[in-house]
Amino acid sequence: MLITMKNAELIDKLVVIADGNFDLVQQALLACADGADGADLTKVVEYIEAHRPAFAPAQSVAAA
Amino acid sequence: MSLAWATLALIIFLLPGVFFFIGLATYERLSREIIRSGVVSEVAMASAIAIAIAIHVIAIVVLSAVGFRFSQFVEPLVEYSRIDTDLFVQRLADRLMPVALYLFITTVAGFGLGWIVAVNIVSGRLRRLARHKWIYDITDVDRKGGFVTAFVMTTIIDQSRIIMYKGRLHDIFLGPEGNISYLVLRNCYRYYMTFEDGALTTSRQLELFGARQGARPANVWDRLFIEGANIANVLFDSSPEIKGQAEGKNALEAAFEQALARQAVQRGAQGAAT
Repeated sequence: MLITMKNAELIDKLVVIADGNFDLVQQALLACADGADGADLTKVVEYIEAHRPAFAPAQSVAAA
Repeated sequence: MSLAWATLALIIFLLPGVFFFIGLATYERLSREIIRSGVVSEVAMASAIAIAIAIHVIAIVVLSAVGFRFSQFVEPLVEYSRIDTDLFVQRLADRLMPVALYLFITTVAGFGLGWIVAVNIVSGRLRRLARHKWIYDITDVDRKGGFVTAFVMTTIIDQSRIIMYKGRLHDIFLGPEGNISYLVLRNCYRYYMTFEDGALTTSRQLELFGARQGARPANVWDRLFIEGANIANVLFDSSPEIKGQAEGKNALEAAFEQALARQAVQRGAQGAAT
């Protein structure tokens, strides 16, 4: 049974906005999450834009 | 003649039960797999009959409450061997529309009931009906607009180092026993876990494409395929649900277009520098 994630397009765009930094997208969702209600998309985009490194593409060094 | 009538009656009788399973199967792929593994079984056939009986009973009770009498409806047709053919055809024609309407309503009821059951299996209320329940947690996160990050410990060990991967879950193929046949990840990182002084520690996570990963154009893609035989275990980590997608669509698209334009300028500047 193959299960494919259907929500890929939205996350792909967020990753592009984050200059390929997937960790930043994760961080944005966690930071913008409002309890059990989830994270508002507009706030997530704003968070990524505010925390994205200025020019060079980001490199992740997050710990597991 | 009576054999043909019996067959027709059986098909009509079973339609709501059959459409219950069709409704169950239309909600999403996982529901279809439940049907595929169970529809030929005796249990599924018994379920279809039971559901069909239940829907017919409810329909007849409702019709009786508004004055319908089943015996009066059927009796004129039972006399077909004693009455003129033209009269019989006329009686039959008079009943075709009500019968078609009854069939349509009971079939739609069966389909709708199946769809509701499928929704509840996936969303959790009837999760106990599923064989491998954990996979629904993953599909539910995806359905709500979130994503799942997979931390994969491989079976590849070099001295005391175990190769590990982290990435956004894209595809997962489950075997019949609920085991993972393979995983496909995106936005991947590699790192390793070591045993040191009795403690497990993990190294820095490095992007698979190194420093170039973030500079890759948006229209190229990457997938990391990990064979199930190479997986020791997987930690699935769900993100929060992303809400307000309709309201945030304009902000997302504007930021996306700006990012594409900015990255094109950066690539041009880097190309000119080299």
